Amino acid sequence: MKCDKAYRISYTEKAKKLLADLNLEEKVNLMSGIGYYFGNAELYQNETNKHYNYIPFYCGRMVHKGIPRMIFTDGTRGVVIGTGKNTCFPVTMLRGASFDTKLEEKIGRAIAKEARACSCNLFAGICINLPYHPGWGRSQETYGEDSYHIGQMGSALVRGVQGENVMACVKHYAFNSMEISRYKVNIECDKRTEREVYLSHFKDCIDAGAAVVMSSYNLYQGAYCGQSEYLLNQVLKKEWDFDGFVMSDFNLGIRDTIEAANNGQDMEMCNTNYYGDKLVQAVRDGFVPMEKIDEACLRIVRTIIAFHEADDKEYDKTIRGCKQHIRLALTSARKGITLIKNDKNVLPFKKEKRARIAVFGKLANQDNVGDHGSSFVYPPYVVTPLQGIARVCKDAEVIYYPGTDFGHARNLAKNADYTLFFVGYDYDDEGEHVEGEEFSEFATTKGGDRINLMGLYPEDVNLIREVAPVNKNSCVVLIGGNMILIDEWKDYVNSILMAYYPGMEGGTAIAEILFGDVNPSGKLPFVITKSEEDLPEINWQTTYQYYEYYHGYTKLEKEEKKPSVPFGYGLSYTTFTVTEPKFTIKKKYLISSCLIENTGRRYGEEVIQVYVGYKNSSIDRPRKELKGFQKVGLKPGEKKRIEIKTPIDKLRWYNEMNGQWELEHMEYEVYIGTSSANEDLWEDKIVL
Amino acid sequence: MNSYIFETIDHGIKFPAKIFVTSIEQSSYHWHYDYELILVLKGSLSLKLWPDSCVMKEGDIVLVNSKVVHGLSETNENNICLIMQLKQELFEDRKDKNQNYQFYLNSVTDIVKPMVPYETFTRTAAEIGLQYYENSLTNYFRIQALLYTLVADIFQYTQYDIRQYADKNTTVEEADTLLRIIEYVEQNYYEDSITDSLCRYIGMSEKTLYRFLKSHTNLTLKELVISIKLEKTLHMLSKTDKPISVIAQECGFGTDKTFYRIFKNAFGMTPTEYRISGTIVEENKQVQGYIDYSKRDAIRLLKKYI
Repeated sequence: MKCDKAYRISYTEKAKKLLADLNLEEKVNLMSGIGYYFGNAELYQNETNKHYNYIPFYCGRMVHKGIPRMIFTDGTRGVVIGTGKNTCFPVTMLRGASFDTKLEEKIGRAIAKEARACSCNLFAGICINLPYHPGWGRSQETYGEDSYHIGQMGSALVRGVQGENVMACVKHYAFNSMEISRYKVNIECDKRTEREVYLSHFKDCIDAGAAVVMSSYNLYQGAYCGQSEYLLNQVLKKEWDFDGFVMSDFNLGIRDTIEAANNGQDMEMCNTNYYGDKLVQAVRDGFVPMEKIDEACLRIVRTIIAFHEADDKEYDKTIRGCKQHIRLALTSARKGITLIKNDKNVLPFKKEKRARIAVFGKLANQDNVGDHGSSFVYPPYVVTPLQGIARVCKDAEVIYYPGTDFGHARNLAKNADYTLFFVGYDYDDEGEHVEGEEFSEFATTKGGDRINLMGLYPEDVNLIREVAPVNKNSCVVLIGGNMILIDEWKDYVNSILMAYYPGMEGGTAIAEILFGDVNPSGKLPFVITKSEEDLPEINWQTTYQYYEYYHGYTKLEKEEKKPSVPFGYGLSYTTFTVTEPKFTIKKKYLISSCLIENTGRRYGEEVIQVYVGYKNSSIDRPRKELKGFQKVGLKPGEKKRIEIKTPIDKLRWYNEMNGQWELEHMEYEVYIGTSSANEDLWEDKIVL
Repeated sequence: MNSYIFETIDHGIKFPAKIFVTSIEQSSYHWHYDYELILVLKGSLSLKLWPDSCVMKEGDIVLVNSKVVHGLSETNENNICLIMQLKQELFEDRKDKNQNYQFYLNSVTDIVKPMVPYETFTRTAAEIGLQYYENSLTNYFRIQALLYTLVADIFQYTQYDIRQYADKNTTVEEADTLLRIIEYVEQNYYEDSITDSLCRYIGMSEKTLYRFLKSHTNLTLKELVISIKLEKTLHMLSKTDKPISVIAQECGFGTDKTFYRIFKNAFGMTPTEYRISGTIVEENKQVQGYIDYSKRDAIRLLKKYI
């Protein structure tokens, strides 16, 4: 990555020189979003679908002064610009389930290339908010529930995007894990929760070189995050030494000109409500010191010109949705979809000629790439699960019935060789919620958080319970952005596949996995609890929410509750044995290693996971936490030694008494294996 | 032998459907793209939807789905039916042309029930039939409106499955091929080596032929041959005095025993029982005279459903 921090800093003098030539109004112009960028006629001339981000947004009208515009595309599953052109990748949650940082970096590069082909130089699609509660409607846009894992995956996307010299914008800083109350909810938590759980992955992405941060709508400790002195000036810019710039979330991300400008908000997006003339006046009236404007402009200009001058490559429009990128979207779906139950190895189904496949559930016959909010990518096509099955099983008879009449459904299932159920959610059940907001004219769906919807709809539960037992070759395919409770029906079906929202080629990947062309290798990036009671308490429609230190698998382990399916869990069609676990300390790293062997009969991929436990701690810490992972592919009979490096710094805790990260000198439990369940892990001890 | 021609369904220029009132004598197993709505206005009609069969009585309505192999024959009473052959395009999903809808609308078997009474469909069908007898501009639009109402009702109020195909739906050439296969089998069903000769005739390998038939008709060649043979025997049993063993021989069943077994399996009765009863389903055995109907009769019958 050329555009790293050191390289960007090298543009300080040049940026200062450019700024010296600007007056106050011109400087403030660089900080004040303008709206749509009509600079590239090709992008909008023939566009009939004028959706929220059909052309880029931009900021800065100082091109004649040698300062390029910031040209913005939204994300997270691809480039939002236009209709019918760009590659729609699987949602971030599925990509998190791949536990594959190399793949995520490739996806970042592909996205950045398409962004550049759309005249953009900034991709605002590195969403790394940690869902306190899995009901968060936009949790599909993040990588999972674990800070370490989010940090690693998010950093990979940053490297990929910036590898093509596109600014990577990390969002939404911070604590933005509730949707319907996002404009009004004040989040509070203790300092350890703040640093260890909700900010550490932001720090990871900044350390990975992310150039831009988008602040969130919500409040933290009583201050709007878009104008929070603590979050922006103190933590991000001072403590973390962030050199890039901050932009506000759109239109309601700033509520006060003076507070925002003084507290470290560098750029108002996407339109000017509080900056522009108001900010000029505030400076003239002495409420905002000129140095604040100069600092913001320096950050903006330095970053933009550094990226602008990094290369002079042209990215042709044919790169949008090109074969290689669509292929990559398919690869991603194949590596993320997670097999969570497979009794008697009922999967993979055989691709017999003339097999009769009965498919139930309306989600089988629906384009369902996820949320229809700001992350909605409009690809040239979407392969539905039903289409995928028909294409993968060319000689089979594929019969789809939504499932209204159980008697008829049972008959179809009885006469079928294989029975499939596609159940879960779509953009109406979860996703961005824009009611009463600037872009509500674009809202066609409800979205929002999953209030009272942690499991399936009762009609889907009944369908599974009534119909699945008729045919032992049965599989439930779950579609959704985060954990879905399964306990009320899981015993009625022999296999369960978690497909998340698998992108434009998702139907293909699902079918390939069901019928054995592809060996599944995804791992759950969240825990599936047995019931709703095991989740943190949350009030979705509220102005105040407290985030406890524990959530997800750490909460379950602390409370000694068994999950329904553990974090990090996922099955394969082959078998792996992990042996010879070894843990050593080398300089500033914990080196965890093991020997993994594919003991089955087909190629497969496994995710080796490292956890660290703190039984001897004198403070309250999780039973164990993920502190390393690596995806590995093995041919039948092949053995590989895996070595996973974890910086010792990652074992520290945040001491709120002195505001320091501290390492406990004690004996730690260290684990290596294939899921977070103790039976899948080798345990050892190390002393630090 | 067919009282109307299925194979060259002509929708005319005006409508995406062909609508007529007719008396059906016999139509052996066949298949087409059109959806076919049958409303029995008078008498009864034996409808075979492979592998089942049923007898439609006055007032019964059945939608024969696109590409379903079916056959029609009169029972011992004559019939008058409203037939509507509806173009497949009427039922096509604009988004995915590789999907084929199979609706459950059959008032005889009534296994998968629609969400409204059958009268909803018979009324609209009868209205369409009535409008068809007029030829004004108003009727032209009225029929279109009613046709789309009917299709909308079918989508909204019947249960349906979708057959998903991988790529393009069966092409016109494929349909021609199927008709050529059926025609060939009808003419050569008694041949022992029909598989070989058919493969040569149609230019397909045995495997390809098998797959082709199975995917389009859900029948194997053997099953198709048997169904055509049985068709012949039904005709001979009811219309000739030939001894059963001769019929079995002529229709290529080898031994009488085989013939009895296959016949019983297919129709649930022996050939002798069929010959005596004159129908495969127990019915009013009184032989009625041929129903001659006029336009006036047809209109009178249709009006009963409105």
